[in-house]
Amino acid sequence: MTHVGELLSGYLDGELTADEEQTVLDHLDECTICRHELVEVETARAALRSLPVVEPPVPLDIPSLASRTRRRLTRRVGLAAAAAAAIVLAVGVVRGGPTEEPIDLGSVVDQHTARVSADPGLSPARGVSLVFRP
Amino acid sequence: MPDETVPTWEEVAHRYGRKIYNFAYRLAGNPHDASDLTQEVLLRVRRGLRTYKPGSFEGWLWRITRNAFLDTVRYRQRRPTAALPDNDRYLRTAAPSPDEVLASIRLGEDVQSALLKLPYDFREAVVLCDVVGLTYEEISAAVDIPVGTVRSRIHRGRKMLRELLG
Repeated sequence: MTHVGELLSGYLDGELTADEEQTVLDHLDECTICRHELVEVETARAALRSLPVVEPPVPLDIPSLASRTRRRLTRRVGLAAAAAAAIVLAVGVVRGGPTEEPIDLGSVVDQHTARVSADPGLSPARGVSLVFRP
Repeated sequence: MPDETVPTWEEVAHRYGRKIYNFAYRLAGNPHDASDLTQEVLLRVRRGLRTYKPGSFEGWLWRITRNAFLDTVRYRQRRPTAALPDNDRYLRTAAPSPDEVLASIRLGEDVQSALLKLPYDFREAVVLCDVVGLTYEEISAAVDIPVGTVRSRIHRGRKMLRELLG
């Protein structure tokens, strides 16, 4: 007797033609091996379908700068960003003191890059002035 | 979404983001790769939408998703260790009923770790069918294999999963 094998999954998924489905049902009437296989496959299918939906950690409807895009922009504004970072560093050294928060250069460059990308009309020079603290 | 309306990038992210993330999460088994992949897919979608011609949007989307997974995650994953054969299965007496079996499976964790032990082709097929909810036709288009092969991979994947779940 030839068994129906993968037709069992097709049957469970409602993917068989009417003829194929009839073949499966007729065969299951007479074959305990395939009846057993149907139960096994159905168990696996049910286990998969009851996997919980995982929530993505990042809000996906907010466009975020992917690293490749960031790298491309950084190359273009690299000199200005480096200048901005150097100025911030200089300011930090001059103003230094126990209460000063450490300056995160990475985030400064990112913010600058983000500003430039968000508004292409914004000149890098103007972006630099925004990091000066009063 | 009707085929003649091309969605905006934001609509795609909003409507499909969770599904794409879950596809990647179940295939890769960790949130880091899932996030990486989701961002990569959305990037490719944003680029591709400029030239996308209305047709089967979901087919196009899942083709991108699946290819992005292969490009970004799969080849940098360490291969999971293969499951050792379960030698004491012959000592079991009466077979438990399907309900008992399902109840005894710690859903989520057990299924996920068993999933990671499947060969990639089988894992991808069952995830697209049972996690993402695509039809055989849609999977066939996304993976570029005949429907018969889709059905075969799904069936063999499920059988193997069942064995791994004990």
